[in-house]
Amino acid sequence: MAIWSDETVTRFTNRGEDIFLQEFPVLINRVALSIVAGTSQYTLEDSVHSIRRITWKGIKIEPTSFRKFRNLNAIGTEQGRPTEYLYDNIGKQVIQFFPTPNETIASTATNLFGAAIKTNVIIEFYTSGAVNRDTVTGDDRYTVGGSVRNLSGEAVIPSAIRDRLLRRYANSQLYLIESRRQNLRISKYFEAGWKLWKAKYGRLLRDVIMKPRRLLANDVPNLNPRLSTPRLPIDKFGEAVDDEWY
Amino acid sequence: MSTASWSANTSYYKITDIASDAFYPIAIYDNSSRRWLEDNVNISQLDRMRADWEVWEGSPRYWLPVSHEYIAVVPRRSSVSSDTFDFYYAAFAETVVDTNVPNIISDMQYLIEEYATADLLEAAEELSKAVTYWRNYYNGIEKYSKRVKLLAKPAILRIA
Repeated sequence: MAIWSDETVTRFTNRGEDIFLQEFPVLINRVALSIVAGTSQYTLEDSVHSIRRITWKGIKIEPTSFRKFRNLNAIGTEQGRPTEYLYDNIGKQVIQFFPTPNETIASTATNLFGAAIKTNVIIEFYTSGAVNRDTVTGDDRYTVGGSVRNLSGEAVIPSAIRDRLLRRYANSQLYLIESRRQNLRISKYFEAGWKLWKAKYGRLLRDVIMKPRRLLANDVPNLNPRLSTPRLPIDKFGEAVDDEWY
Repeated sequence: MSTASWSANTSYYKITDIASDAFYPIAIYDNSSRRWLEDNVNISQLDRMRADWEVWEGSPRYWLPVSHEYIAVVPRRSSVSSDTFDFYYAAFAETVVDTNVPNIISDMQYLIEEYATADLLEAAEELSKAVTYWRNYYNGIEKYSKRVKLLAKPAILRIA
């Protein structure tokens, strides 16, 4: 007989994932909005943790501030291709475009990282773990839940990291449950491991894997878009890349 | 390293579609232009270059990781061709089965045993015993890491 029920283990596993993703927003997802001409406000899914990027048929829309938005609105309610957006995630998940869209654009659920970019309004966002949670069972991270369109639902922490990390959090909480199995010493042991590996894996994912490599000896340090002649990676030339992850 | 074909109208490539065991990318070499793609730009720098860089078409020149799942290649190819690129990456270790020879040097293969023992002791709630094995494992990993870097030293001497 299992010591703890599957539901309890799953609950703590999910909670651990949520905590990790709130502290280290590393999961990125995309959704295409259905745009209606004359409508400036659109509601986003709860799983939108924070917006990373919005493109209108491939062209970036810039975020704006309340102050600037008020000034813009003072001009009037003109319509056109939006150049700016305002996102208020305090209390409600509503995004507002300026100018108000003057065309209707249907959304698609697939190829949001590919061919659909040119024809859709795409929001790229940091997501909480809930994006992959099944709306019925509430615990299946590999199934796309709700109406969030996920590119086949794979936006998950890499499995090699996820299992080791979340097991520590789940154990730290399971041993705290008031029962004959309660053991505060073991809970503290796993909690220490959770804190250590959360920081280590978070840094690995956010600060190492998701940043530009900068291994090439580059001829355009100031990003002057003239043609350059990139060379072999620096380690081939002898410049040491003495990072613990390489 | 894995070799893959460029896709048309694709700004983002999924890492595991290029190489199923890829953990994170290191470098990309375009076999058609015979150039290493530049890897020193981030998203905001691309935004400053072109607001529409996601649909910028041409011969790939830059690449950057956008998440642990995707890389962006800029500009993107507009048509399908047989041209390929070499994708250099750090890989996940293969799943160990009984018949495997571990993919690390023979005198350090005991580390796998240390890890497995520590993990099992932890599951059996024998924490103080597990800590001993964990200590052996992490000390060994550190030593092995230094050794691997030392082995690579001749390749990273400055030639200029």
